[in-house]
Amino acid sequence: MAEAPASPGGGGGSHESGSPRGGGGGGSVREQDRFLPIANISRIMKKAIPANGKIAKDAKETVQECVSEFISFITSEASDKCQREKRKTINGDDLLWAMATLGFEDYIEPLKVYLQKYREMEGDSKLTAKSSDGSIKKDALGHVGASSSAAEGMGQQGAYNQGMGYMQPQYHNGDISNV
Amino acid sequence: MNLQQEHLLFSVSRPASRPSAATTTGFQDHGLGGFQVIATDGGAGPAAPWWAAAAPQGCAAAKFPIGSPPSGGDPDLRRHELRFVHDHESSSAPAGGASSAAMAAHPELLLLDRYQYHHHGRFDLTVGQSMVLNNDSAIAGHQIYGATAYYHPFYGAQALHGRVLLPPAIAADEPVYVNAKQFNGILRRRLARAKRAAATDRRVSGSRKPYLHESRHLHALRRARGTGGRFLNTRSRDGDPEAGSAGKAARLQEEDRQADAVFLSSLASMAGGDATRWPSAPSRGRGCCDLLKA
Repeated sequence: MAEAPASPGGGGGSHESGSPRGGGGGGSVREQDRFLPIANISRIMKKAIPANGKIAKDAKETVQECVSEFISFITSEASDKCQREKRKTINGDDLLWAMATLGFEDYIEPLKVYLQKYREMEGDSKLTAKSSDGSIKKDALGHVGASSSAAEGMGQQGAYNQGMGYMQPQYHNGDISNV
Repeated sequence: MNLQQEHLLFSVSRPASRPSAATTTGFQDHGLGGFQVIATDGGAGPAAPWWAAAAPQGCAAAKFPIGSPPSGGDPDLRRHELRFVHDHESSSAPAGGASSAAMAAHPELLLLDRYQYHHHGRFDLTVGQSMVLNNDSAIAGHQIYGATAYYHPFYGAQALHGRVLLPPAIAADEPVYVNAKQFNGILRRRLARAKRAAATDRRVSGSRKPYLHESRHLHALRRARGTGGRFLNTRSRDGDPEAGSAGKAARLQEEDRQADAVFLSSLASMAGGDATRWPSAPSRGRGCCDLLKA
């Protein structure tokens, strides 16, 4: 199957006819906002199977729904906590607290290590790399522009995650706390 | 649960482990019903015919007399709880004959479903005699009081691995028990999904414009298309604003290759991963510019 990215919905002049999940005429923005891009999920799933293995489309869609619901589940619990404390920004510690509250205690220790290393990496890159400031600005501009830029950003975060070699929830935890 | 249990007459499915609660949330029609019944030969008494497959266990336990069969509902549930608390300290002789006790024991099985999952204790039915709650008095009292809040779960009274009955969804055919910690979260997510579904329905009902700008629509109609209906484009990877899906697919493949490079280099050293990570950012920026101009 073609792993084309989801087309930007609602924009002017779509280049592709139809999105991977929707029917003809292009998918809606809500549909894309609800699920993670399936290409990134497929790429992550392929890391766990042999080189000659294949993954069925319904398997990818099932994992897509599961991980998207897991993210919303954790995030809504963290959001409730932030609303009670009159805070507007969800950070990584809020997500760790939400996981502990919901019974995912086994995730806390690996994610603490990941969050610490992620913050160190972010600080180092900001201090040392001079040219990265322009890239960050372009990234911010892209996020403001279209939702497909989020897919690009997801790809970049995926690359970083694969470099770290951690589990997927850790990657999304880092990604959510920075959005 | 590490109890030694016999599966008799009913199919049993084990409760899902806690990390897979998200899966349970996603597929709400997944059934986790069922319960276990253990028959024991504690005390004297003839074996009833419908307990023929029961394996005997040499377990002596206090016996509680069972009165008239309950008609179901909360008042009966409360009455039975009071009976357990009241009669726990005393043991009495088995009541009734084998056949009448066997018939009277059938309605009790309807309550076993609730007691099983609320107390997580062991329910022993003496062969043809009476139903026995084989727990310590403190634990039994604690769990019994927890059961009174059946429709309003009392989380403080629940054990760490307790399960709470989830209000059934629209198409649920069996009750679903979930982790008590996740009960409120699941209900909140249900409301959020319903709200989103309603918004989506409102959006779908309203007709959507096929395009926003006439000139862009005409331009797209004039562009050459290949097999499958996608635009033809021989110029790719040069950041041209007119780049189509071919350039996008090539860019994704390039990003995938860079991701593999990052992964392989990170196995060697952390600094290597750091160095190879940032060169891919400008290409992503170019992609953003292309998407903005599209």
